[in-house]
Amino acid sequence: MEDTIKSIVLGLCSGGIYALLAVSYVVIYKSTRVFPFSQAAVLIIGAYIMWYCLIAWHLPIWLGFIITCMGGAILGMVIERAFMRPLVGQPILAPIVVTLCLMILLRGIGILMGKGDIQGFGESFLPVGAWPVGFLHLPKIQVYGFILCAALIAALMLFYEKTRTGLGMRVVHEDHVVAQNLGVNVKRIFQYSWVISCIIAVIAGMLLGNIQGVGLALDANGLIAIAAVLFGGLESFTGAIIAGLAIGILQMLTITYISPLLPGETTMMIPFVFLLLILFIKPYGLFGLVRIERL
Amino acid sequence: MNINRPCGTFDRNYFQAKELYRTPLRKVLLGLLIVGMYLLPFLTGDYGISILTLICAFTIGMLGLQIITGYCGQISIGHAAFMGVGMYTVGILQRHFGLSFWICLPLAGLVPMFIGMMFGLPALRMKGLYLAFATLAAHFVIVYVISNWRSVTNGTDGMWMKRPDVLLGIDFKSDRNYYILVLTITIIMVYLATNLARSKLGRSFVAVRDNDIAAEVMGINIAYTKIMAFGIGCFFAGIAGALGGAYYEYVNIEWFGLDDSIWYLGFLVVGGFGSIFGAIAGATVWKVMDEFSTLVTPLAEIFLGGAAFYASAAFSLVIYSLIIIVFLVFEPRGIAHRWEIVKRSYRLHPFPY
Amino acid sequence: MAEITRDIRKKREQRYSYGLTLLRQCIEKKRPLTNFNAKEKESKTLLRAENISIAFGKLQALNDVKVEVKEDEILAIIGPNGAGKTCLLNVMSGFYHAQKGEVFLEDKRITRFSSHKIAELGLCRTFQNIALYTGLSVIDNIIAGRHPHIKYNFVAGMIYFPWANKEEAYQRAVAEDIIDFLELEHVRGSVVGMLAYGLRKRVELGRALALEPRILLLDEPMAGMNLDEKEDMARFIIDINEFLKIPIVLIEHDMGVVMDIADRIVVLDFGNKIAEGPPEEIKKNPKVIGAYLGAE
Repeated sequence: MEDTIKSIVLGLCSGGIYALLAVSYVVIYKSTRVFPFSQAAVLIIGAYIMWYCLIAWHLPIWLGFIITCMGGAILGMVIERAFMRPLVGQPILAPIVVTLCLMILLRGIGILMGKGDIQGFGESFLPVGAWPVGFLHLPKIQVYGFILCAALIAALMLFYEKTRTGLGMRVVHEDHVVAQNLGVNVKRIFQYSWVISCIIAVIAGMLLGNIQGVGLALDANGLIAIAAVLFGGLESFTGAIIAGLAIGILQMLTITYISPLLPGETTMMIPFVFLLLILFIKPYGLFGLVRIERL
Repeated sequence: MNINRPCGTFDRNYFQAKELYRTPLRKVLLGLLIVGMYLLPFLTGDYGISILTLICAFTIGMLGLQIITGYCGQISIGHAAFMGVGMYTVGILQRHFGLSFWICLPLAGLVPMFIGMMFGLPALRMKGLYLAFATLAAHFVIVYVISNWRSVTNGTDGMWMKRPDVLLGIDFKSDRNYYILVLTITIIMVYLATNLARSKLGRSFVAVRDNDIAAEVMGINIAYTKIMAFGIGCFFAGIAGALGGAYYEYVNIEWFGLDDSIWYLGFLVVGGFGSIFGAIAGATVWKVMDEFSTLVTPLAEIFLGGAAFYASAAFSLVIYSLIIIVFLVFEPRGIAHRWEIVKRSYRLHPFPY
Repeated sequence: MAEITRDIRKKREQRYSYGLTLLRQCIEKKRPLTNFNAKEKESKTLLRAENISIAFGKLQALNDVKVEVKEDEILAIIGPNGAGKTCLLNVMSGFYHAQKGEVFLEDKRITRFSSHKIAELGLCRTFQNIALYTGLSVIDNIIAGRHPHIKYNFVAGMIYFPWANKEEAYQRAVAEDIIDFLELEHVRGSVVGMLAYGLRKRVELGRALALEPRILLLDEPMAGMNLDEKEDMARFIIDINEFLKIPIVLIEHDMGVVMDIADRIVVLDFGNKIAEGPPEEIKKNPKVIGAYLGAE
């Protein structure tokens, strides 16, 4: 029982980061109808940039944060302009292959930046240690990470609801042609979506680099977030958030209960089995929109 | 396939109208090409033979993916896993049951075929992106099962395989003889795939790709078609895996990561969708780039200094993805389309079109 | 001038019946059209859709609609937009599953069959927004329409010589006859994506014919055409009905065409059938006039 509650709470905390990643996928998918596999590797780039800022160049935390976010924004703009823009109008396979290859390209760049494999952050920029709450020991990193993720998602939702650009993005979510006819600059909205998504992914990369160590293994989290996005439905923010938390809990419960039973490295595989089950039972996810094809 | 005949000659019956190689010159050139491929190992050294063997094996795998994705439009990001299943089938059968390679080869095609059909079941309900996810998940599940079923597959340590036994007095331990075997099987597979493309099933593949709702209403059973596409494509992948594994005489699941599946798809795009030549071109480009990157790595080490072992890993990742992306951006129909343009401009010279 | 046009028309008609005879001979030589003897008997009901009700969420698309098609007639379904005509066709061809109601083809219940089985039984349709296989050429599209009638399995297809070779040549001959019939020779080899709208509709009709249907459902075959093309299409439809003896269900908006070629008309309005009968009666029916022009 203790184990279960511990797993659930820890799962919620790590689920917050998965929810953040899932939201970054959904932002791009809703706007551009392209699924950005590459965000899994943007994580790695974000973690490395932060590592460079803090450890190699010994900058203060806030400066490192700003530089990382700017790096993420520039990365988003470059990806959108150079790689995604020329693909408008091509069949559905083209953006899929390009984003997959971008994932590998960014991972390659990560290898070149990292000159090696897993390295810790040294002193993490978030306070280490844990708060004892009853029988739980909540690691401070996880809690602060969760709060940061929640704040970011809330800020994003406010952006969508309250600002004019957010309204434009919501129109583009529905239909590109209609949006263009109404005077919304659809290309700029694409850029905004990519920039927002990359910034979110980079921040998630920072947090994960703190928790798991900076290295190439981080993109496993990105792939698990893909399972979360599909579980929640590709076109729904609510679904992404709920699914991210659920996958985090599932992950922790797996580690506690199922891992000892099955051989080998199950933490990567169980979300994908879950994904296959979901695709069989409810192919469009919990909150996804079912597309009816008309003749 | 509507290649014109020389000016003034016309097709006289429908058999002639659907021929692939219409003029006597083309038939002679095809024959010379095949004979040349057989004679190549005598000209190149061992290194050339190894490249050629791998090109042939991967061509068969690419043909499988071309059938699934290029002809039938079902996106499959798990193809490398099926190739691994083919390799491991041969390894397991040889190690645990001691069967000879000749019996293992068809089984190496059939086992991935059935597993592929199973993973094709989600394809019946989903299209496009969702199918890509399902195949991605399938890839991970298969890799996990192979890596961790230690009693059967020896886990991540890999398994030893044996070359084919002596047949008709030819010993396949030598690379050259093995290459001739692989080449023969490749030619048979290309023949089968080309005929599949212009037969009834191939036409239904293209119909399902283009407009599957209309295809269903026009009498094509799309469930059968999609499952057959996955089945036949994975059959090809399994055979490719068996041949490749027997060449190295060793299999290891480490060779079949997610990256390899993505390279399969990417180099298929580079080669060109929807044509047999595209699959062959894609496989050739991939293997040539492999050799190129192993040659260039020492230069990279000099350039970046130090024990830059990571540079070789990063090099292949970065360069391959850049090539694929450049092709997608500038020539989305791939090398096969460019080749068609070259042939057409040669035929129509000096007119532009 | 009159002589020239008469000449051309006569030549057209000569070639026309030549193509038709060939078509009939070719198809009948190996597999005779099953309703060949139908003209002699009393025309009986071929397709019967009874009490069809289908709703999408709260929108009731069809409400207890009953339609019968006899064996040698051209039935026109008309009605304002949103009346559910395409929906009815979709239900009949198995694309939608009606919540209530049954569809019978030759007294065999086909309500819950999947679309391809219904197509194999002989019910074939064309689409309002053309659904051709855009990557294939015209002749490939028509041969693709022959799919249920091609008789070799996939292994024979992969080996190809000699069975598949002969079969493919035969199917090519049949497709050429259909092209002859529909006067598509000049675009035979071009990829369908490049063709004009009117030609694409004709290719779609050809693909439907290639299925050797027992009954043909046409969804707005004359939409977006000018007078010349409409006359051509009307001629093809009448010829299919008379020479190939295939009953036709026609959804059409052009009243002139409908009044001219239809034997019977069914009028739908917001999912309800409001009138049925020969064209003269429908013209005078006050409910129909109310639906189209607005009630007084």
